[in-house]
Amino acid sequence: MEAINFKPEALINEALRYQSKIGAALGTLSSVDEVHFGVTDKEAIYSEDKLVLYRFRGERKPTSKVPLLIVYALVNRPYMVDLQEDRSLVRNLLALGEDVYLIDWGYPDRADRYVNLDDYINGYIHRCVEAVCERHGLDRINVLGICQGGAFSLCYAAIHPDKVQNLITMVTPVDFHTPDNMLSHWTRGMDVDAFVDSLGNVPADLMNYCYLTLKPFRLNHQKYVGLVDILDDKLELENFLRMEKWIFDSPDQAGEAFRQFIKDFYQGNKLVKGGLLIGEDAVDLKNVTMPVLNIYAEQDHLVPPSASIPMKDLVGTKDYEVLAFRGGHIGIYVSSRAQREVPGAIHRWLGER
Amino acid sequence: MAAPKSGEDWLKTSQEYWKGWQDLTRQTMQGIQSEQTAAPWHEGLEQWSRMFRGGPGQSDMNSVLDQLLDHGRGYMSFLQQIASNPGGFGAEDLRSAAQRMVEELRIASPFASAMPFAGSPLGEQFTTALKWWQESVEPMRNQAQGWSRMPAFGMAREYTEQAQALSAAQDKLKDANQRYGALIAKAVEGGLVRFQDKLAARFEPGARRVDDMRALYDLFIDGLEEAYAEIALSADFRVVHGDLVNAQSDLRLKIQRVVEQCSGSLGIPTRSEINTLEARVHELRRAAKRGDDHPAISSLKGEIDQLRRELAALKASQHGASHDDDELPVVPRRAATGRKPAVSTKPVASPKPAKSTKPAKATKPAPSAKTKAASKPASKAKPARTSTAKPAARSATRTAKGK
Repeated sequence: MEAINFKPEALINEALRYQSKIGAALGTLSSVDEVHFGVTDKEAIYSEDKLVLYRFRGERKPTSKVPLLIVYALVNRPYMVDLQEDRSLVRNLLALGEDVYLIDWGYPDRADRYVNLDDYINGYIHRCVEAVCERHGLDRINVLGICQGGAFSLCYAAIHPDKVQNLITMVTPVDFHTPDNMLSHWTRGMDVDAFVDSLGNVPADLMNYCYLTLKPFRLNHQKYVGLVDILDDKLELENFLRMEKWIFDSPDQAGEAFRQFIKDFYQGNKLVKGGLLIGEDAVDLKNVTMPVLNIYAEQDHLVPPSASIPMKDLVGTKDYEVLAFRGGHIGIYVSSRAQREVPGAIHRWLGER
Repeated sequence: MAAPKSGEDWLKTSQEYWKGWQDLTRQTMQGIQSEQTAAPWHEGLEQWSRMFRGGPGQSDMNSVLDQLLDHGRGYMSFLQQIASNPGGFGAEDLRSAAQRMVEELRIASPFASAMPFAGSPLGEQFTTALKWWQESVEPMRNQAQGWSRMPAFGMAREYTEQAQALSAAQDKLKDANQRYGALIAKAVEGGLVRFQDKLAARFEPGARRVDDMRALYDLFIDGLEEAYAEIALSADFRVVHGDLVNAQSDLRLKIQRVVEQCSGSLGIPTRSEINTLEARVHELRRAAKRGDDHPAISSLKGEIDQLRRELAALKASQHGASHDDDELPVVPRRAATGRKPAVSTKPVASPKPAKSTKPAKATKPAPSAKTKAASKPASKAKPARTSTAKPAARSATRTAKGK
């Protein structure tokens, strides 16, 4: 290979710059404020077990007559949708006049290991929908499902189509067997029964480790080398730490729900192939007859676009719209582009229906 | 090197260090070899580390700092390896830099402690259990080669067989670890090739040049990630990864079984017992939550409905066709919409009073498009949820639009 020569001075300067940034950390790390998240006011309107259903309070009264319930994934904490003042899907939706509710699943412990997908979908989600309907005197509401919560929302909408007026899915996998889906590829060689039987609940650390190994060099090393660049910027550092908090503040996964999700979704690909049962209810996506807006991220390494795009041909609705967001699985909530594009698109789409 | 006492001290020490280091590097670049040139570039980071730790009230920061320094050391090593070659760097230098990086990431040998998540709390727990097992059984294994394949008999045959199974499971995990490690090593090799290709592409006319070390480092990471992704999505990797996870689960289950037996013999409650109780409690809670569907409750509800109908009929016969509007409606208004009352709804702070038309729990209307599995036993059937056809949902949605 042809050699490359860097000037020694340039190398030294770079090393010095790096070290001086590390030195700056002494000041910034000790001066950063406690990392806050979940910035928007909210009230708990329903609770059950570890779940709490919140209603967010905006600075103005909602103009939308139909509330929007956000169903987040089990694998991370839902405050990603309201991370900080200038990075909040919730805050932006409220500003546009939406009436926003959110299910916070809490942190399952060993006593929850037998909670299964029927409990989550026909139990918790259904009762949250009922609670929102009850408050508003409505028979159905709008549902926004995110990631795994999007898959749950699809199942819910298929089983209870009379409860969902409009369905929005964000970074939601439907076809789990596309060739670029690394997580799915790995799980298909797993004996999930032995895995869950031996672990009980699946520890959050193990889940996080798995996510980190999707891009091990970038997520374990390059990211932190890059961090040095902002070590002398208090605000940027706080943003970084807030994101780190979210990434690693993960709940354990209830064993039975995990077992079924891996078996039926990742291994069985039953949303596509059929045969999915949630409790005693068969899930047929053709029953998803309400309007659907599917938003996916073009650079998503967790839910590749190829896993989400096939939704169009699987759902029963004729009113289907898709939004391809230029960004990744996390950028779709927190990037400045997301703040500009996503809440407006959701509000506009809902307003047209 | 003694720990500096203050920021000023550190600055002074650091300046001296870097000045000396700069001189040495210059000499190195000129082809002058010296033992001193082996001084690690990350020594400056170590000074930071000592200073941070020396400061009062900095203990909370140590873990953050450790992480920063860990990654910094890797980056500095990378810089140093590149810089330490007077004539530039070649394939072997890259290989060496990559290898060091990989070792620091613990990617190539994350299973040295039989764990795919070494360093995590879970990893520590499992490692402890594994260590216990090794200490207990390993001496026996070493004494008798092939012991794990010998037939067991006599009073202790079950225990012997169990120990043999444990031993075999451990061997299986070791084997899976090795195969996994081999694939990761292959990914790293592939990463180097890709890195070299990427670098070569930058020499093409019109290509963006690599201007600084960070750009070179980023290119290096890109190469590693691409090669890793290719391996990680291969059929081989799926098998090897699955084998590794499964071998781990298997060993964990077998260790748990032994622990259960020991605990049971001492009268200590076991995980199995707790699982059984948890499962029973959960099933009871599910039954309570779906109280509407419980045969006894359904029967009572049916009875109430029947009584209501009889009462209505009785009243109707007494008053004749009186057209009284305030007669008791047999079915609440909202029941017709398919509303299912929230069985265990527990509003925390609902300011809205319950509607007077709140449906009685006795009536459980049918969601309009609920599709029930054909395999559902008739005795548990929820007839109200299976009765209607789904196409109604769309028109209902249309008419109920709130916007």
